[in-house]
Amino acid sequence: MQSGHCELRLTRRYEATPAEVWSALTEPASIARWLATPVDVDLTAGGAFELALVNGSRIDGRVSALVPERVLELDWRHADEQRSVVRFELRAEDGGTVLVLDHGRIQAPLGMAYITRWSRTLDRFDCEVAA
Amino acid sequence: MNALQALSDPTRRRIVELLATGGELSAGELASHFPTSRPGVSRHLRVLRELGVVQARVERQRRLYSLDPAPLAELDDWLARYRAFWTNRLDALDTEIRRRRREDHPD
Repeated sequence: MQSGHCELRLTRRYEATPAEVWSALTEPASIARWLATPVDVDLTAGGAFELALVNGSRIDGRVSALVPERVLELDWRHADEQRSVVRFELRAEDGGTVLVLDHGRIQAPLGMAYITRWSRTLDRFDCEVAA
Repeated sequence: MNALQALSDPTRRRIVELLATGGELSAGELASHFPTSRPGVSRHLRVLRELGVVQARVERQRRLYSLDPAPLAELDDWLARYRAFWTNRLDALDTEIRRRRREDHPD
């Protein structure tokens, strides 16, 4: 965890195989339905991951790590925010698939970064105050 | 910003953390967590009160300190943006997975 940044984690279990969750997660036609309109999506390491949100703003992203059916990690930049990292990890468990979403390196709002382990509805939400 | 000034000092940062998890605490209870003298902790508590991060009330001749909820609400508002964004998206992903399953395995 970097100083002055926050991380959040969400975990979900889906009644489907990792292959099924992966294709729903990554196929452009699916992305359009669950995430945002793909503008330029190239599912290869270093490939573009650009989205248009319904509110008109853009995600200017890039694929920073890719292990099919297991890991999708994106450099994530929304509008004029600083770059952050969004990582999806899948694993098979009890006949279903567990998805762990980590959104890290979120720039903490000034002075608001002092509460650690803020986790009412998230699995984990950590912030660290800038040194 | 007040919160930032309040937290520029490691002792004050620790006091805020203790109050965030411990609710209401007296100066003595807070001081037990520090090698610093009790007057030192009281001095930091006064700074935190002046900055509006910490509030105090008296109960049975004890002064009890707690966090002011306003800065916490500000943090929660900010966090709610990210929380709502991803919570909604992961629900939509579930819908998408079910939809594809139905198309692949029509009844």
